[in-house]
Amino acid sequence: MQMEVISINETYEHGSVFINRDRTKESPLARFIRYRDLVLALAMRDVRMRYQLSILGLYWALLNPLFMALIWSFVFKTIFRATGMEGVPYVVFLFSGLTFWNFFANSLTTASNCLTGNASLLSKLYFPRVILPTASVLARLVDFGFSLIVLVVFMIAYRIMPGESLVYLPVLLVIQLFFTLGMAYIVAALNVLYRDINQIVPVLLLLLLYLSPIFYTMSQIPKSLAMYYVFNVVGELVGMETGVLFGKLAIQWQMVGVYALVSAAVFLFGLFVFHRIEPLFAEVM
Amino acid sequence: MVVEVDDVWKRFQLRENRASGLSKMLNSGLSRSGPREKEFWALKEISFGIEENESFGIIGVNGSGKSTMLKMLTGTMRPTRGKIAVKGRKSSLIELGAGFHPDFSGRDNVYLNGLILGISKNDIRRKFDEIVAFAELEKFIDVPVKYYSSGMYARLGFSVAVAVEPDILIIDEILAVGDIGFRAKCMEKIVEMQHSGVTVILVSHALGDVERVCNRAMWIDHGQMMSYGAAKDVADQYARQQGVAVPGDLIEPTPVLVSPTSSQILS
Repeated sequence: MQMEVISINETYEHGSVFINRDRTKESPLARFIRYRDLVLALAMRDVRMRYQLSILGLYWALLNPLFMALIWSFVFKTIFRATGMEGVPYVVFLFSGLTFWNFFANSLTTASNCLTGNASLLSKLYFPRVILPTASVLARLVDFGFSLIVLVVFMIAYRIMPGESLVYLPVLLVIQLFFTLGMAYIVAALNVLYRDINQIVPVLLLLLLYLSPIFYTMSQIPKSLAMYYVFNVVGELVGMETGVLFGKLAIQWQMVGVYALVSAAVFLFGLFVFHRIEPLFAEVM
Repeated sequence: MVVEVDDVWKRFQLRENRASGLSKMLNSGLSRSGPREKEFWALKEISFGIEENESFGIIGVNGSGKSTMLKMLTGTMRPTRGKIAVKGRKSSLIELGAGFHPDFSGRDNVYLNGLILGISKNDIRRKFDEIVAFAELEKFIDVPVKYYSSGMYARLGFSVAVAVEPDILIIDEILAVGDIGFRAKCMEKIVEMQHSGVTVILVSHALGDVERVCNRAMWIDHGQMMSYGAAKDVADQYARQQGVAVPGDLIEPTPVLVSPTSSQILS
């Protein structure tokens, strides 16, 4: 009997598995909705898991960056006399940078363990594995939302007005989201093969943090070094986001366009790497 | 045909310890060329088909490749060579409750597991009471599953897996868990699903279950198909080779010693 093969979304390079779902009457749209629900459910579980057994619960999403901002503000402003952005209290400037930065950094930290930490989930049935790192990133997007609320409260308290360029902020955030997703796919997949990844990721993130305009502004970087900063995509994005938020930056849309393309490329490359490594997951874990 | 497995081979790389390859290299002053890899064929030349309204058993000793075959049928693992075609929605009873998170309530875990197994949120909502009732966990559904007994855990896992209304139900030694009452209830449910047209694929050591549930079966040993045919015949053949008396045999069967093999580490 010849088998009719409708969807070949699970066709592999050497051997192959054909799944024909016609009897389940699940349309592509219905499947998309189910996968979307699964991403959201996993993301919510991640968020709740992080705070569930703590007394302060979700408030940690606010308190954590706040404490970091206070500590670093003491070190850099009080001791090292850093100035930050003109017209913005240093602690607010720092908190803003950390808010945008943490979304990226915490996403990668979570994503690097999302496959290895969910091995039992992977043994169950086939579902697109890319759902797991995506959920990790979305979970950190929720944290980011809470942090953003505190930032807005800060701005109101210090009467800092955002400028017209604020309209660019959502665009910059979307660019950052896709860049983060692409990087998350890469670290998640590689960590399955080599657990060295979750050792090296925090170190690289720390390096990148200091190489980003978070403790200082772009204008304070020595001219001879400034040209190299364009390669730090996420640093540039964080710098621009903080700049437009406080209305201190005339945005160059050409730059935004370039970073949008770079992010799209990183996102696609991440997906590509992930799908190449995916067949090995079940065997290595 | 619901399932068609065509000349499937599966190779594993036996790495001494793949992750330590580099650090070993560093320790030994870069003298080694890299981790040595050995090949191991877990399955060789496997072909079979399962027709609609038929149930299929896979038997064999530990390490024979049964679970590898199942993993490829669920889609979590891919064959090295060959083709597998599966038609319809699958649900698996592999490790009941795998993917449950201990800190979350039964309710939360039912939703998440349902989504993974392939039913929409609305369907889960609609069937929720039915799922809980079958698992007999009405009183405990909002308790974190870490406080469940292993029986409760398995009951909830089973209940979600069958609520998916699968076309194909994949079962791996599931009936080893739970008490007699639960076992009986599961078997009853499985038979009931079979009558409504669900294809059951069962991996088991319990030859009785295989004979009871399956029409046809396959016996694999060292990754190779030893026999394939009517469940009763295959089970008898297997039993004889294992040195177990088969009712109806006139002559006392000669016990055959099966030596443990390297393949057992990959079961």
